[in-house]
Amino acid sequence: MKKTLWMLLALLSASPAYADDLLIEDAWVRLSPPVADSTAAYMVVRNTGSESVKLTGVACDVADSAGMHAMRMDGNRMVMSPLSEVGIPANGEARFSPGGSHVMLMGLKHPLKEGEMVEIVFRLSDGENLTLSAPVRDMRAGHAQHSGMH
Amino acid sequence: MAAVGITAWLLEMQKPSVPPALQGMGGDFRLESATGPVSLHDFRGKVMLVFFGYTHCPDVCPAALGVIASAMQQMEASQAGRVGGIFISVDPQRDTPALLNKYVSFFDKRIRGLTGTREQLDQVAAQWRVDYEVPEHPADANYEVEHTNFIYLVNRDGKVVDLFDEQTDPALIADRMRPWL
Repeated sequence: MKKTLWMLLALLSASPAYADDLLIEDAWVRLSPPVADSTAAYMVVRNTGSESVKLTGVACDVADSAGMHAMRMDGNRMVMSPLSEVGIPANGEARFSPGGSHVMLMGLKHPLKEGEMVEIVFRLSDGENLTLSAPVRDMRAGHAQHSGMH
Repeated sequence: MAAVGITAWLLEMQKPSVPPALQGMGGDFRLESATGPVSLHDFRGKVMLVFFGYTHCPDVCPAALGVIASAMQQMEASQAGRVGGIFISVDPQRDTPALLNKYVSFFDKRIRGLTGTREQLDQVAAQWRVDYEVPEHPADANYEVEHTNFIYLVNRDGKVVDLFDEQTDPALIADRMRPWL
């Protein structure tokens, strides 16, 4: 039994560590009005490795639930749909941006404050976690023009 | 007197033409605000930016209201009081007028938050060509509302004259508002 466990651990440590190949860029969380109980997080996840990786889930401790969402136009209606996974090809990237796919944070446990750092954890297809910290940005005019709004 | 007439005519000629697709879109309505009923014609004389959405919207609605606020804030000081915004919630089950008022004030005090009964909203949505769907859920559930993401530019006569969305540069919206002031 003990031997099997050691073999298993050896196998696990030998498997490629996807998280090491992933770089996070431009991560930020939208400051929502104090009465709103949901918001969105945005970032670019860049895969510098030679193998594709999948993001299979996301969690955030400031929200009751978090999820990856895609956005598309259906006629003239914006439709959001949950994404069960997001694949990132080798040397490719997954982009979460305003008006596009985003990480939705639902049921905020406290009103966020500008500058507050929010921890977001992606689950990867190999079972690893990718943890990142994203600042809360106030996108109102005159507050954060350096923003991720392009 | 004639000079005034000519000036008025020249100013009128400077206004951009309204695309045919927008003619017949929009129209007056009467909805509820935190301080009582509000109609679109209450804003006659002002150039308005109108958006339909809901406060539990994580991405598009706060982006759109940010764009509306930013466009208004780019107007010259002398024009600041002649522009306004309206946010109509199509999710009255969760968005009370009082909550809406707090939500929109975060972006700009000139934005009014309105909502109404399902029947009223259906009627306004049909007039404004807003396509939306609220799923059947209890008010305390997390649910998403699909909706049209137009930002409407409404002239001083209450007519829809231009359309944008939450991805539009606020500076461009400000430029398009000026001729209508």
